[in-house]
Amino acid sequence: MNHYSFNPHALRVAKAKIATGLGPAIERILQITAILLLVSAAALIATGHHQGFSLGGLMIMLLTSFLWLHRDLDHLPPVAVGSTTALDQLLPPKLTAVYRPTMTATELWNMLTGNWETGFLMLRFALKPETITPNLAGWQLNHDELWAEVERLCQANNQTHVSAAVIVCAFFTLNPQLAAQLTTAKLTPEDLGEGARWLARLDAYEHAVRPLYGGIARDWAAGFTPLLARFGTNLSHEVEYAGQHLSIRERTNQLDALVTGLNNGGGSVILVGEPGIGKSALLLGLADRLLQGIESGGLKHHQIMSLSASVILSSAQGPGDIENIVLGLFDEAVRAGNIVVALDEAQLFFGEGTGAVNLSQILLPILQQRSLKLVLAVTPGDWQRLKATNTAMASLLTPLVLAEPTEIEVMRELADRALTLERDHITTWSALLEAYRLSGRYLDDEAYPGRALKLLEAACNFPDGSFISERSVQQAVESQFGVKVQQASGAESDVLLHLEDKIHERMINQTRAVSVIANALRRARAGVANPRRPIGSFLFLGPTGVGKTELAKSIAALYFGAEDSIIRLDMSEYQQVADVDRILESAAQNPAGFLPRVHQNPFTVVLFDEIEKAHPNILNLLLQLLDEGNLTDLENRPTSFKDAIIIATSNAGSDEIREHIEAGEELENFEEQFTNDLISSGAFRPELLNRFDEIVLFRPLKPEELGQVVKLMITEVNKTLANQKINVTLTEDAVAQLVEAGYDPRLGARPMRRMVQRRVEDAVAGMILRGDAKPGDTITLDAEHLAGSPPPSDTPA
Amino acid sequence: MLVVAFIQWWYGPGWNDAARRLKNHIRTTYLSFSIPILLATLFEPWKRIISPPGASLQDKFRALGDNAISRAVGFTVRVMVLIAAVATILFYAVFGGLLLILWPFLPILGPVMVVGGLVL
Repeated sequence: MNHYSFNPHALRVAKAKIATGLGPAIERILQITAILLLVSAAALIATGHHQGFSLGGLMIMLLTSFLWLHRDLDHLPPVAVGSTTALDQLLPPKLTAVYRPTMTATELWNMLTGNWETGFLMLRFALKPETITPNLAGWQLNHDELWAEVERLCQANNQTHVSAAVIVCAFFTLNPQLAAQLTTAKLTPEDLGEGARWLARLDAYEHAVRPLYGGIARDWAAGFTPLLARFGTNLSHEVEYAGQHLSIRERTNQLDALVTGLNNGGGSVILVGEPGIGKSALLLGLADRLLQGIESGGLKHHQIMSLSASVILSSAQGPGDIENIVLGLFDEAVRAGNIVVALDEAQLFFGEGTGAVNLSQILLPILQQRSLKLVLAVTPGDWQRLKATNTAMASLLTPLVLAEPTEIEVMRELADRALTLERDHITTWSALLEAYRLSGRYLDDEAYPGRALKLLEAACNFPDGSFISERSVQQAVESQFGVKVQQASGAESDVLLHLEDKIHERMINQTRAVSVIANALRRARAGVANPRRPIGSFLFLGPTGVGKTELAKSIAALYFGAEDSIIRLDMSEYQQVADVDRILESAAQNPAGFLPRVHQNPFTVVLFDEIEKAHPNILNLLLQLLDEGNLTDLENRPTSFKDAIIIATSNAGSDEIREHIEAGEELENFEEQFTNDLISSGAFRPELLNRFDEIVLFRPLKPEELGQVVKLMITEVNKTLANQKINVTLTEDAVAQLVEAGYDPRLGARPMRRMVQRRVEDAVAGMILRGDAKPGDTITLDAEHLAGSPPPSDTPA
Repeated sequence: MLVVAFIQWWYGPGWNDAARRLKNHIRTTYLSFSIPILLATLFEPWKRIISPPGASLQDKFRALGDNAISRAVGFTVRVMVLIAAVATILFYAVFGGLLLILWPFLPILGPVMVVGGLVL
């Protein structure tokens, strides 16, 4: 390890001390005094007073002092990392002024907290400085170790000079307590390192010389472009007057390829990339480069005019108008001599998509003549279609396929753009990480970085105090997609912890099934489940009328907040091979189709009823759904099932279940054998059964359990009657009579619904119509009343 | 030591810095007035207000006339701007140059003037 030295008597240290001691206020006073002295000296000399020379001399002395302070002492550039081990030369000026090799960790930390870079990191990483100091109290700081780590981090970050931010990072890397504090905040030292890089980029951007874009005569020799100004957007003006975000100039390779494509060959380039991948940002980068005239070949000082198909289409009033407008626009661009035309969503100009118009016949000769530089932007799908349908045009375009940026690149772009999005709040690094993570999961219509930027923009509407935090991003997702992504707390935690009790409030018995489901839901909500698969997938097996659908409804009500959060497919309607396409219909083909409904409501129970009746090809789709958590529609758009609970029900083997139960066996003891039997009998393929998280067996209900079902049904009847303030109760005899009349071991609780409807609801309806039941009454029905005679009603006094 | 540091800076990096600043200032003025572009396009039409070439002889003559006028306008404006640019650059060069020549005397000039003003 290097031994780092610090010479407190070095000239740079002395200079740094003076600069720090004087500060900007003294500089301002020097400036004002010098001006006052100049005016006074001039006035005195003009009036013949020779003392004016003395004042003038004083003014010159102040001026020279000011120049020294402002141009030398305020700028004591540290030497490059690795060139020396002398800290008096390596440290930033403000730290040089106060550093001592004998400082304790706490003293050194206090020195750092006075620096704005430390404040920036503390804010962006939501770390409270007062929580840092206690962790430093007992830490025996080895200065050599610290500076070696700082040097290592600088080299890892490609930073040539030591900054306060890197020293902070070194603290968090070396001190175990601080590292643990980061872990508690779900962050790593690498994240903090990215924060230091963020600062370095900001610093470079702020100190960069504003580029010169050609001066006043830049466009004097070019033509007027009134039509282009009316129908297009001048991206070059946007860059010139509004500036641009930091990351654009970092896309050097893509910009090089774009400029080369425009200068060589056909002179027209087609940008191929998914929406959100940064095609528009690349055009802004191109505008910046061409305006600066650096590495732009023959396109020096050219401007980018972006045309919008929708604006052109909306301006057309009669047949042939569109063609005339577009011809006029291109003619104007050619005559102007300094225009590159950009066609965003270029597929709309080739007759693809809603609101499109086919202008291929106009574009083709322009491309062939190479008289105009064009940049077209399309998605990969549109590019494939163009190649298939218009080979001549495709061959004249140089494709530039834009690959999705890496996570690090997206995070850097997010960080840079956050500064312009956040307005009055501070965006934390955790918010950026969460925007990256959640946009990857929920905004599948776009590519990175667009999807993450869109989510971050939405999160700005949900400030968390003074911050745009991880929570803000989660709230934005919950609000936009109706899913739950925040950690369960309060009432929700209570429901999850007592899920079995809550389910049993509306289901009788099936303890084993309820327990299996409750555990799976708790795993998912706690974030333990695999995020790349559905929240849970279950195969419910058992006779009819034992509560399979009721359990699915209970899950929807308790986990998704509404009993109707169920998308149900009756698989008996999907028995033909042609039904596969029906399942995969896109939103354009059938807005009420299965996949569009799941796309709109991803946080739902998807119930495949009577799955054994589905066509085998549909079961193959189910394999993909359970494995990968998504299905792709007929237009190649994926629909995610990662936030859905998949439940398939089947009556297969229900007789065997009944036989086992009647033989006195417990479900746990025969379910494995039962599953094997289902596979060997050919009822289900093993690969399908293996993909479900749980295969849940439902046992037939006993007569006494049916009595409890009846009571639950009466509770439902009372909910319906609540508006009329009438309450119905059944005596035990009445319940027993209903069970006796409705019990059928093959149909379970299903006949009980009919029985309650016929006997109880009919009896109550008759009473209401006869005027025997009034608001506030409690009707008690006995067995004899269910047979026909009117019951007594207890009217409150 | 600080006096030595001041002198070292004033007659070394400080003087260089002043020269560099003057050079940058002149360069910025040169580019802001677009002098390279003005020279390269001195005889180009002004804003390309030329008529499109027509089919008839009359149209062609009209285009030729328009073009000639446009070029004349362009030339006049550009020459005027070039003159303004050169004047500005000369102004900076003269006064900046003077300051650079005076630069080594400034630290001495101050105390001399203070004393001189009191003695006179």
